Amino acid sequence: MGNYTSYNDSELIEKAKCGEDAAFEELVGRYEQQVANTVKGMLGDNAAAEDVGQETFIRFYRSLEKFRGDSALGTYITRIAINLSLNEIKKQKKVISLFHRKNVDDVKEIDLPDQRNRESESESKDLVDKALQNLKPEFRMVVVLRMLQGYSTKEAASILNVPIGTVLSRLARAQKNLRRILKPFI
Amino acid sequence: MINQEMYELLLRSMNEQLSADEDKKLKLALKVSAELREEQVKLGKVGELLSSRNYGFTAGFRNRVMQAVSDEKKGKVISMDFGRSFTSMFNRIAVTGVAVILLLVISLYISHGSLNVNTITGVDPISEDNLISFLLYEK
Repeated sequence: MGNYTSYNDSELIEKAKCGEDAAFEELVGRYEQQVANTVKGMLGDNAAAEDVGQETFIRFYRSLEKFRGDSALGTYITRIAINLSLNEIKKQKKVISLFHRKNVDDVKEIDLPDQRNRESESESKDLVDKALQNLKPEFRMVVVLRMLQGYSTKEAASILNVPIGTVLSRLARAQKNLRRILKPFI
Repeated sequence: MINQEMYELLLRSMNEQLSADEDKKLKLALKVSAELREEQVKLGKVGELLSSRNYGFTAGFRNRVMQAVSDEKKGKVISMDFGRSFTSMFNRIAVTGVAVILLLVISLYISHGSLNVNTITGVDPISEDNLISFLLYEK
């Protein structure tokens, strides 16, 4: 097995198309973190997010032949991850609405950590996760792309296939909500 | 109490370039309102909290993906093999069928000397009278 770290994404894609699994594995390694941030930001740090992460790379593998390189590979994979996450959310909503006859978009109450524990890193991570999960999916995805992944507003709009104005208005509303949710922590 | 318009401007300033006019307004509002300045700091902290959150997959994630990819490839190979063998089998059956039909036609031509409909269907020419008597008296 050769060393693939020196190859760029396009070269790795070409090699993966020719059946070199190690080249695809290198791509998985390069974008694993990015996909984790997307799917876990969207779905929470749980087993469903792990499955969606795995499915993201499988879908990417299946579409290798179709990838023309019109957009950056990271953007392409993130788009797959976002779409699969939204599908998973829809699936979960269906299951929840089957068993609980209530509005699943209701704002949930967040259990804030004790004052003395608030400083700890894990508590802050936990709180960020809860705050994210408290946002509606359409707001959550702009926050994940813009604030977690660091995409520009234009890139986020392109990934989500919505106008820049929509991203900006969703972002402003999401930030307002996050500020309210995280109020005791900041 | 924070001016709502200025708060909206503050939110927007965190994600986009404000126009010169809006920027001037916001700077002025920040200068005079301690509350708005505090809000700016807090919104900045929200951003910091979120950008510092890094997720990761559990150990062995890459291996699981590669295993799934390998299974995917095997599935593709099996279905491709099935497709290929089905096509080649179909070709053989088709060629054999055509050969059998040709042999039948040739043997019919040799035995009957022509290839009209009656020869192919194996029915002798029958007149209406013959048919009526056949239906009435034949048991």
